[in-house]
Amino acid sequence: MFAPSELETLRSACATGAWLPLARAITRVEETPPWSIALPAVERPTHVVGITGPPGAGKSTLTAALITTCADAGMRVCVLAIDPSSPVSGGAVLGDRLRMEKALLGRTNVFVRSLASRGAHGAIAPATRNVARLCELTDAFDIIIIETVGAGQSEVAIAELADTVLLVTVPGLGDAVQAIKAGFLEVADMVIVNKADRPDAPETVRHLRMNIPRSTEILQTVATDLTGVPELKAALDARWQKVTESTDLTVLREGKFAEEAAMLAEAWTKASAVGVPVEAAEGFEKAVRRILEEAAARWTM
Amino acid sequence: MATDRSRIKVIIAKPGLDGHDRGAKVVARALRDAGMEVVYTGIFQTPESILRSVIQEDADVLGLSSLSGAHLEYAIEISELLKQNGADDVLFLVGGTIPSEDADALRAVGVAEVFGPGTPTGDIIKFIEEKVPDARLATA
Amino acid sequence: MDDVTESSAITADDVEEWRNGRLARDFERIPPRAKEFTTLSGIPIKDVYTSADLDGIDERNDIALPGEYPYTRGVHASMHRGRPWTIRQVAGFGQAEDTNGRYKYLLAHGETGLSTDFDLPTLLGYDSDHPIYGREVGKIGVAVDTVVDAHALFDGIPLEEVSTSLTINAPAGVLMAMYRVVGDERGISGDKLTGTTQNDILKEYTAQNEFIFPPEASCELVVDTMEYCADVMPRFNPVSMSGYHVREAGCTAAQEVGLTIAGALCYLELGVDRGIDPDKIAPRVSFFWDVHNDFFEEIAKLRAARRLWARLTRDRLKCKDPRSWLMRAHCQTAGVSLTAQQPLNNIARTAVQALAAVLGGTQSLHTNSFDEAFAIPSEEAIKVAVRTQQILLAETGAADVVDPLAGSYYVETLTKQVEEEALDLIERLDAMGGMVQAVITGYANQLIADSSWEQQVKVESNQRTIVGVNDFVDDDYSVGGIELFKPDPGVLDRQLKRLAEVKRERSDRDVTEALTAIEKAAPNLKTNLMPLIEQAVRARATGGEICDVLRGQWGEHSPSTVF
Repeated sequence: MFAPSELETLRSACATGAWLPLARAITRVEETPPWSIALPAVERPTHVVGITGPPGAGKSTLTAALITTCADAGMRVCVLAIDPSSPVSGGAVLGDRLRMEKALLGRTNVFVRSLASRGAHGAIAPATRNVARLCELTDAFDIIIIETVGAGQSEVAIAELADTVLLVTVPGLGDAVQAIKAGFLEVADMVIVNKADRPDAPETVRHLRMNIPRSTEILQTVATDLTGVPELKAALDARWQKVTESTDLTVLREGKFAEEAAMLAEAWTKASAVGVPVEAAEGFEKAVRRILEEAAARWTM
Repeated sequence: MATDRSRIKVIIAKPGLDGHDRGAKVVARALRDAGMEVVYTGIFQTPESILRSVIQEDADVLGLSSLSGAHLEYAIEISELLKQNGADDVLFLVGGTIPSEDADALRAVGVAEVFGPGTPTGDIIKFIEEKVPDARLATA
Repeated sequence: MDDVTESSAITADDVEEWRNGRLARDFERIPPRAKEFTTLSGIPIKDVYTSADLDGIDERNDIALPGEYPYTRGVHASMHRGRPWTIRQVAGFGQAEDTNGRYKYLLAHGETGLSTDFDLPTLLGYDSDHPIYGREVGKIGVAVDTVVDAHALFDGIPLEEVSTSLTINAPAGVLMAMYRVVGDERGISGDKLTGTTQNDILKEYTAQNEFIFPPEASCELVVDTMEYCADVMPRFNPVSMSGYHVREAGCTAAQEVGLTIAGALCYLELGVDRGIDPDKIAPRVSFFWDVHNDFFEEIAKLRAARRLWARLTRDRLKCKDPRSWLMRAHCQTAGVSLTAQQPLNNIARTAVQALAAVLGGTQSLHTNSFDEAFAIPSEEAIKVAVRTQQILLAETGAADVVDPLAGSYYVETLTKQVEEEALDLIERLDAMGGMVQAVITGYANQLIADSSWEQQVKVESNQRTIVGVNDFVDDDYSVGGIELFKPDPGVLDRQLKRLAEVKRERSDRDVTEALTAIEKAAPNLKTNLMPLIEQAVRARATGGEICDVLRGQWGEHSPSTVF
């Protein structure tokens, strides 16, 4: 879908801080049926971090804090913020950018794009995977943050999209563990207890510790004043370093065929309902075949 | 609809210090209910932050809400920034307490329409739906 | 009921018979204009009210007499038969002398109290020489950077005779100190100064968005000002609890009352926590209500608010001084009801709203100008607004009787309903920890946003007609040939020159010393900062400098993200 020359132009534009071509390219990806998009393989991967969690946990505030901390450390930051589309009208109020505005003031090395879920079951826009990959292909970023609503099956979807999944929660959600669906706890690479200055924070941390795998880190933050956020950044950097130095990344990424297939199938079903051109059927078949081949290769390893 | 987009993308912004946001929020909700994807940037925005939102979100429409009397200065500056950054194909709308002669001055700098307080949201929706395809096609 | 000679009360059965008989027959001939009738806020309006509706309302305890607890009928026995309400029109634009000019114009035309609107930089604790906000200086209010501007603002105005309301919130302490210092430097003692600072910071977080610092510190600062005023300017009202703004932001009449009184309780209870006797600070808490289109609902609202306040101050706060139980109120006609379409219609709207305020027992009134959907008021339009009040006072008889709607089956019922709904909201807010918590969690904002949306839906689905907007529509936007107000482009330059001059002439050492004292004291929220702020103001520190110190210590609050 994107010729190598187009990608080159995109890279140069982003390098000079001219974001419009990337923004327009993202729109194209949003508007193209997923089976028609064949992006080249990523040669220089960027850390894709997914942030999810129940409503009220302060995800957007934490994202803003992470933007501030990473950008001020010289990192180039990309944020994809996903909000649910109205099931009734199909429209959406994309309210995450609003919460990040302060973090964007005067920082030119940050790119934020709001995406509507557009009715996806996973509450993650179907185009998100490809948008993230496109952003990676520009070589313009040192970190790509995908922020989602903690609804639907988004915990599974985000796990298939991101290299690192952060689950953000807060004390005072009643039973912290119950408040987080079982799926979240299993896929999280790190659990962040935000508003950690609350008196009930230590208890929440204890309770979580008893209920999640040993290998999952728990960090505490107070996103509103950046407490704990530099430590979070350091943990993310360390994790990315470890992953890129081994073959873990390949394993991490190429195994995520199931979600891709599911998204394709969903998109296909929707499109078929209103009528799809014959050529599209070929594209769909090709894409599914590719996924199945990858899967087969994986299983036989 | 002859647009290269399935959903109209709108930025609603409040520049400067004016905090009257009832109208902006009501319009955002109404546009959502009409099927558009709306980014409300919030209050206390600068022309630069508004430009950045328009560009990064690849907006079809920019709606400026101003009840503070400084609408002309902000609109002029934003209009300039849009031009300089290749984004002047965006449909530029202004809403708020705007005297009619200021409305003329706004149109002169590229504002497509001015909506006073109490404008039915249906009128705004209709205007956007009619105008957006033209604005997008012009750059194709 | 065919026998006309029998004299007795009308019963519920009588009403049922009437409803199924006469009324039903009327409706067969001419169907009702709507499926259901409700007040603007959504309270259902019955087809008729009778004495039966007054069951449960006790004349002595619930209605009483004017000037008597619980003050349902008015805070004074004589009300407007003695002193009429103050005609107090808000004014503010350009530099201090420009606004001073308008003050004099208004006083000459018969207004009886002053009220000031400040420009956005001043409201938000920035100076006119701020690097970014220069374009907002003097546009929708007057630019006041230092006490030198305050002197110019009141030049030639006898402060011992005229009271001034200062519409300022986050930096209210600074402006209050300026008022005190202006009086003092003119040789007028603090106890002779009368007036008000709006200074109700809670509603800024929920409605007007003119906040600077976070809620806890800001509320403690309000308590500082209340204590300071009681000591130093005992006839000055440090707080004007504002229902106006939350109403304009879209909430209902009962919510307006509930949120505002909950806010007042919040400040007073913080004061009590500090060991301040509530009777020291409650008497000078004043109120500011919106008067919207629904004539009877607004009258009922004012009566309900008075009664609820009296009961809560006496029974909940345990205030012993009857002056603590009195809700003294200023009203403003609803800005949000003004249309840009056919602007002259706004004169009619404003007149009816003003009448509701008068019959509702207001102590002070601002009537909007018909051109305010376009700009701040022109001289011609503000004159009409003043004349509207004078006509009400002199020509209609509305001021010649005290609380004439008392005993009205409808109005007493409505009064009770608004009171009950408002109290219900106060109790819900209590349960979540009070107004500060309601602000932090966004509960209050969501309440208002949802109400606002409901109203919009009603208007757009034509369940509510707005003349000239969704009915009787034409192309008329004419303002009757008057010239709309235009901000003077030279204001910024002149103000910058003056500010630079003040900075040159003042003692840098005095300013630094004063600001440092504030900086040291600020972290302890229970310390009263007002004497230190007064000191800084005297030294000609600017509002921006003082607020910057507090920003440094307390941080800044981020706007709500609620829809």
